[in-house]
Amino acid sequence: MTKLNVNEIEANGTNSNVKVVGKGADGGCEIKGGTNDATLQLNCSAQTHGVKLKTPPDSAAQNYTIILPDNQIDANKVLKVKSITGSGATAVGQLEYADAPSTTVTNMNAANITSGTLPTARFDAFNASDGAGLVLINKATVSADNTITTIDFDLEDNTLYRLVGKSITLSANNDNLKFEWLDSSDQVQTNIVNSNYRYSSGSYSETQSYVIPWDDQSYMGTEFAFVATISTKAYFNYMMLNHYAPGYAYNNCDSYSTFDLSATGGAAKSINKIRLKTNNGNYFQSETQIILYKYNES
Amino acid sequence: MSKIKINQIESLTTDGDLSITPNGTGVFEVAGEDDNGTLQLNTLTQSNKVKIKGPSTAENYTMILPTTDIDLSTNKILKVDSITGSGSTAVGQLAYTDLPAEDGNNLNASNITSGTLASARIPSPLPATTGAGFKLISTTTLSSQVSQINFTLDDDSLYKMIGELRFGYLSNGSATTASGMYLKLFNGSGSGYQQEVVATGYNADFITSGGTYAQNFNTTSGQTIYSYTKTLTQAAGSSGHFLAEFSTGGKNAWLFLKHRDQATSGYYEYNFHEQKASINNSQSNTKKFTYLRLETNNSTNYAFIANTKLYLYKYMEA
Repeated sequence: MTKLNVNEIEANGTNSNVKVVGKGADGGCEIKGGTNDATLQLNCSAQTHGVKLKTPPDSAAQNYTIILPDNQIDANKVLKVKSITGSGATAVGQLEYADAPSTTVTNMNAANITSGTLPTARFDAFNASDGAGLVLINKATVSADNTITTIDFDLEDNTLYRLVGKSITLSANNDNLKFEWLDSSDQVQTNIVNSNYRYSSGSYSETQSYVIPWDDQSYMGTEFAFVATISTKAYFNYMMLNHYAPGYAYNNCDSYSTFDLSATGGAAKSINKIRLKTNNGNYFQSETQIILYKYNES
Repeated sequence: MSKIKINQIESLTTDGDLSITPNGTGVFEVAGEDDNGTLQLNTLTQSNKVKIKGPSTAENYTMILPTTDIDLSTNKILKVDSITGSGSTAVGQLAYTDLPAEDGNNLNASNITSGTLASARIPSPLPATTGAGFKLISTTTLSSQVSQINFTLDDDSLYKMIGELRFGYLSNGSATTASGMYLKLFNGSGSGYQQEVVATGYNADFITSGGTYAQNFNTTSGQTIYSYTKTLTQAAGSSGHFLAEFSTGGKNAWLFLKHRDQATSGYYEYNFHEQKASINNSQSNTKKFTYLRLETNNSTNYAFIANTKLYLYKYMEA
């Protein structure tokens, strides 16, 4: 083996390379470790800075080969080991310029969401079959006296609702709540049969363009409450209403209403809106609350 | 071109570097012969040898090592930060960079493949507008007899209570057919006061005659809502059930009640009760209640006994 002991090797021509040529398939340019592990230092042109590539320590016992990327260099790519041949001392890793690893979050563990609370706005409607059988549709609260005489709720066709009135206060007594059923053109429906059962004066029925739970005004003040079930299903439209005037005995009216289909020749009618008002046109006073729920069917 | 053929070049001095100095724009070049140019870095024992090798494809790019300190770059990756030139003159400037942040956009719920979302992460209550309009507040199951069962309620709220009642003796918890249920309304517990109530309804006509007909009734004064069924005056089953819906206040509280006692021989077909109750308008206190008491009609002797169950739900308004 021939060996040259020098401190520096310099190219001898202008702008010329220093070339090291290994011999044969296994020959290469080998930098041996001295006191330290082998290091290749690349200096800047001023020789004032030198960046080094160094082999891992002997204790790591590595003998792999890295082949520089076999594709064109491109901005924003990262160095990635594209493939491996061999193993152990003969392992050869082919590098490539590749996109950064995918940052899509997969295989998330729900239990790892360990802080915060999902904002309510982030919840979509749940299914009734999941337990969400009653959905709040709307709550109307009167905020000022002598301003509101009607409260409307749009209704979907073929649906069951629960309508509740609480803290209802009218601007004057000797009045009754009045419910109108409107069609899709906002026209008040007619031919509503309303059968009442009440404490005073027994049962009473009428066919009108409204439903009034005819409680006995002698035992009512200005405050009311009710719970109603409303069906907008064709041929099965109805409203069952438990009505009451809190604070007074002798008032108790349950109202059962449906369309008189004999008057329509059997034609189905619809309830697209329900309007709450009073028979004498009084105001709903502040704190009056009307709450509409829908029974989810899927 | 001058050329020497040699197997090894060794630094001349102890701890001395071996410098290779190209001229001008020249470079230190490792030529390939039967294989692509390979630079091998040995460990100090020469026993382990890591190699950097040129690719076998037609690539001629230049990589410039990062221009920043590596001492701040733990866990960074090498990225091609910029490119000048193209093709065989392409020069890529490397940089130490962070791994890209996980993309929190466009998350796919199907990728939540394990675990359970802790209840603390879910708002309580769930928004009623999503369908969670009816909330279970409590289930009460008695394991022994008590003469009173109390519930603390929110003001200005709507509730539904479903009761499965077992009546018995307070002294020993054994069943009896003699007891019945009263309801009492309080505005606040502890220092709160009991409300005066009125009621109207429809029930079996046993109150005055013990007969077999139903009738209307009124309660115009007092502090008790009598859930009249035959158990209050005559023998009926020792159990019953009821449905109650109530509004605790705002301006005026109210309570709608339907109650049916279990059958017993003779009168079972009339053993029901339905009423609407509220706080007497003639009293001056606030007309609401935030505390509901179920009590036997004789709390000295009678009790709700074991296996009495009460389910309290709330109609959510937001």
